[in-house]
Amino acid sequence: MSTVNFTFDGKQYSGEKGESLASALLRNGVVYFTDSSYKDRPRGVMGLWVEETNALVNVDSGAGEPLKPATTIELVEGLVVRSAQGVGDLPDTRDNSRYDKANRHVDVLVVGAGTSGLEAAKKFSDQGKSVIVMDDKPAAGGHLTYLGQPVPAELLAVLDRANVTYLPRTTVQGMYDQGYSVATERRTDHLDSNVHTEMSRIRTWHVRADHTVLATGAFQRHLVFANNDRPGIMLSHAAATYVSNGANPFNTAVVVTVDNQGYRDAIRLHKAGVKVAAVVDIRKKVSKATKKSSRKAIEALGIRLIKGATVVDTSANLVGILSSVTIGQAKSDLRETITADLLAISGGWTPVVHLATFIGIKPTWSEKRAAFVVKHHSQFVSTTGMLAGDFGDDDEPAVFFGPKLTAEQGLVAFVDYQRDATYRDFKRAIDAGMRSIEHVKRYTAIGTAHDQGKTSGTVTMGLIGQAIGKAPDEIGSLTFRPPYISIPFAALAGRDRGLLSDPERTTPIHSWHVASGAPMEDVGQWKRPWYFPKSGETMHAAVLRECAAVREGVGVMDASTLGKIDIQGKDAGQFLDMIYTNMFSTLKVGMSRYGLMCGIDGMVFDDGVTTRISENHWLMTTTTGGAAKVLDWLEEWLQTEWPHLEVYCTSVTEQISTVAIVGPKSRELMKRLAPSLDVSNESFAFMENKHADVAGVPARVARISFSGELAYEINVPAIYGLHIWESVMSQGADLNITPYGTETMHVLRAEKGFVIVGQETDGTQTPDDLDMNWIVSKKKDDFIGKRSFSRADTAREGRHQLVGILADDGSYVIPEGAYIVAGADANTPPPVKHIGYITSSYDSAALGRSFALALVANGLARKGEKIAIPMADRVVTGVITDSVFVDKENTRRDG
Amino acid sequence: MLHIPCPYCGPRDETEFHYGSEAHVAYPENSSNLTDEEWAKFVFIRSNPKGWMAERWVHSAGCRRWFNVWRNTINHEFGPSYKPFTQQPKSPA
Amino acid sequence: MTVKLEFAKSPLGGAKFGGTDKAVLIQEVPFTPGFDLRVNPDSPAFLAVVAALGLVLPTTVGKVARNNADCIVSEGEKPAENGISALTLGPDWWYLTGTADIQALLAPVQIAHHISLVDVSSQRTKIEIYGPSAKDVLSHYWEQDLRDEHFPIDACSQGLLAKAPLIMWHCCENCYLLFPRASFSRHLWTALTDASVEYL
Repeated sequence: MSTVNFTFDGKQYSGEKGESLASALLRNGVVYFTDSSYKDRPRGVMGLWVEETNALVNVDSGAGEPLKPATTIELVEGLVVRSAQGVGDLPDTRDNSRYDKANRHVDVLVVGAGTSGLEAAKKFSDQGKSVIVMDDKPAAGGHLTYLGQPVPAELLAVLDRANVTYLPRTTVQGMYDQGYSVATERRTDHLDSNVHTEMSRIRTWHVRADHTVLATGAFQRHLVFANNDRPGIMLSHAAATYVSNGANPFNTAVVVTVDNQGYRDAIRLHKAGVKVAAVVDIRKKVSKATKKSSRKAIEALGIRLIKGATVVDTSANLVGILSSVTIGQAKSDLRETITADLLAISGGWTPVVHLATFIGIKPTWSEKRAAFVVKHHSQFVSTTGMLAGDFGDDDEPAVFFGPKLTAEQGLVAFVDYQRDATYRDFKRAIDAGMRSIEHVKRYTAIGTAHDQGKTSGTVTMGLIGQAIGKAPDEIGSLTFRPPYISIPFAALAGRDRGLLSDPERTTPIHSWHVASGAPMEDVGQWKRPWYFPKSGETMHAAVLRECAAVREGVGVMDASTLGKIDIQGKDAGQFLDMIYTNMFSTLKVGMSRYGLMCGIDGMVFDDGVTTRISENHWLMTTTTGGAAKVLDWLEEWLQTEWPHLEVYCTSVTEQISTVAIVGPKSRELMKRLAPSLDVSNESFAFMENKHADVAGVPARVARISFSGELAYEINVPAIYGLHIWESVMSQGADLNITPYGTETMHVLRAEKGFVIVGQETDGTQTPDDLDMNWIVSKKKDDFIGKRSFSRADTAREGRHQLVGILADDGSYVIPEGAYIVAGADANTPPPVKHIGYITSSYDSAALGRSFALALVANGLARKGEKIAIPMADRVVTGVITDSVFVDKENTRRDG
Repeated sequence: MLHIPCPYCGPRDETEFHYGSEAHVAYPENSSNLTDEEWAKFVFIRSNPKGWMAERWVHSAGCRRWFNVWRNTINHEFGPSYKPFTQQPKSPA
Repeated sequence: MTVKLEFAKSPLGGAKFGGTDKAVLIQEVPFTPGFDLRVNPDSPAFLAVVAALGLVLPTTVGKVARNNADCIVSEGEKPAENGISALTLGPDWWYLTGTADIQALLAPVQIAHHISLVDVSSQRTKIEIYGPSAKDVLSHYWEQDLRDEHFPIDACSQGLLAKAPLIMWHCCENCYLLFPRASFSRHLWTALTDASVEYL
């Protein structure tokens, strides 16, 4: 053991490296730790581990962490902590630690490295199973360490076996269905600060185990009596353990017990040099075995035994630290006060049932053990050790939670230390008619603090039982929820932070976009260039410039993100006829057609252009965000409804990179890029596809337009995507080729009244609602969605329909999402019935003014009608128009 | 997180799948002959039982197959999974 | 398909991280040809495919069969000619990769039978992850069971790695080949290298 320095509440101390902060403070004589959250009562360390209720600290050194039990912090050089009075706070500095996650599949997960856990690990290891032992403490041994006993070497050796992985400092935080557990491993806090900085501070383990053995052990619990919360009052096994390890600020102890553990701890205190003034045992009569093992043993050491009695009150010195203990006979009014600075309480064991209850297993009450235990064995989970009620030596506990209290005493008899919840609070809940633990918990806040009732839960159930004359298991059962102890959010996030929080999908041309300084727009997971500003240019100016370039010259857009599905098979045409509202089986080879897809409810859910590559080979495009959904949809029909169709679908979204050159000068540019290609309108018509060498690589060129302008989409294997883009830029330089982003694309398509699924639609629009009746086949017997078009609701009058909106003030761009009211209601005070809302709204270079698309009730029949849009600071007036604003006659698309 | 037994790939994490609602709700033939009520029943009405239910999942991030599986809606327990158009195993209930 | 190298760019530009002398090596193997094959295993078309490829395609999802195909080729060496590996991705779905001219081999079958063969050489890139810590690095993101008895050599699987869809092939000892979709490759590279630093 080496000595390290640490700081507590601004004061320097030293302690032994690796011991707990609580232990080190006791070693330095710090018994009075902090004040309680709500009632400012002086408090000291109560426990040994995560059951600690009082000694919480905020850690300022290292990564920093709020509200950690001092009992769980391993001492390292330079540790800086502040006592926390129930409220946590973090240092202002950024936590630069790494956090990560790891998945692990294993035959058997053993939770707890106490004797029972180690025995279980040995058993399964012997059977040749792979085993992980997760234990939240720094060292194995569990309950034996509470007893001050060494762990048998042959059991410890199990942890070194090849098929056993032992993870200390690893807390199983949650257990879920089907053998799934989540644990956090603290990996660096206990190390000196000069260790491997790349090591993650906390690793969150996701474990899938065929079988999980819960060997979670038990906590000791306290008793409820007047002034049971003073510094110097501790759980007996905690006191005995600290003192035995040399952290001994105490002179005289009184041990109060309901079982034989109190005797063991009294002996350990005595051996460590504490004068044990008395062991006070609530049990009058005990078994012969207990007499021999416990009572005779302390008498042999000259320790006074008081039978059939318990603690009823305590006193403190001027500082607030325990100074004496008042003992009372259970069956009389006899009282005696004993001077002591340590009151060690053995109130019985509370098995750690948390993980079991996470997966719905109900603990059962054992009168013999005075405890809730979980005896369980199923395919996925079994329990062992103290959790299963195997307490080793027979402790012969009395079922006892505290003496009778007067009303006055009840005010200072604490049930839940962290919540400062007293017996009086508890009694009020009972008197108000609460009987279930769940009701009492919510009424009193008992068990809802940082420790989540690890020690107070069973005490509360016992007290309810005592109060209403029922056994604890008649009250209800304890239900806990993950996490078992508090976890930093960073640990839950693991590596899913910053860039890694959600995948960014990029096209082969992404690096060019980034280098050009284009801001990116998130389209699902895709990063798409939003606009390409020239130096000093605003977004508004850039978009107007890009739009004008496309309408008057030539622009280029990266359309590689469109979803693409390769469809092959002799029945593909028939299949597409069912999937799309319009006809595809009649499409000529080499031609493309725009199609609309609906759900069975008749609502539009995706659109795109599909091309017939050859007789039995098609290429479908979907919206950028809809690719995966559409593929699932196609497979659903093929696999579950029409398996007889000879059709195969394959995703090729990333196989093909698409560069669209758009605008009146695109024909000239196309000619330069593919000299062998006849680009005249006569031999290369709208919606036609041609295979050609483009800039030296094989390409499929399609005359498809999403802007109304003459346009060519150059499709190449994605590895050539950047090459094509760069060729377009260099060959088009003297044509003032203008790269444009998603914003310009949106404006251009909106000027033509082209919808974007997901912007003009929200899953409640039929093709009719979008004024797209022209794309719904009247010839086909059936297609998906057809029958729903004649449902009463889809066929009714008054549905929201796609229209254009022009504000009277053409310089005003109406915000998207704005509500529309009838023009007659422009000056009507609210509430006013709205008739629709704006779906898209832009400033237009082509129109020289703003315009918008909207969904308006019965809108198609209302063109020319005045509308108003009430905004926060004004009422905007305007008129309903057709949804096509530019080139209604489609004269521009052929150049 | 659920561990869903794909009949082709074995048990996999829920993140690899998409849910497809109740199994054995076939697309009606001659939908144009159905009354509005009959059609609405097909489009909108599902049994949503408490307990064992045969439902559809698609292994989107894996083999991309749609399949059926028994699942207990009370406790997420999975029963046997089976391929479309194969004999439905008995409810584990 | 021959790659016109002067015009081609792989998604990761042949990036490399770690080393063969280190706990882990991660590198992109650019321009790997790949084809998605769909064929009904119970059909005559399947037998025709097997005959044309000279390789018995496994019919159990997750199995890999290969001919003349070493998974990793050392620097400076040339891969064997006419190599084919077939990764079984679904009951009627294989990913074919290798030096053989797969398209030419299957062209006659495509005419005579109902199969689908789609060039996906650009759809995915190939990342090799090799070394004693390769499995540890992968397990930070991969939720599936990587234990050798459950994912032995020449097993393959599709799933999500750092939320990105990919095919993983355990090709030889301490070596895994990943075939991610190209659009996710940068993300995946960031994820894999970030998880590796602790082992280097």
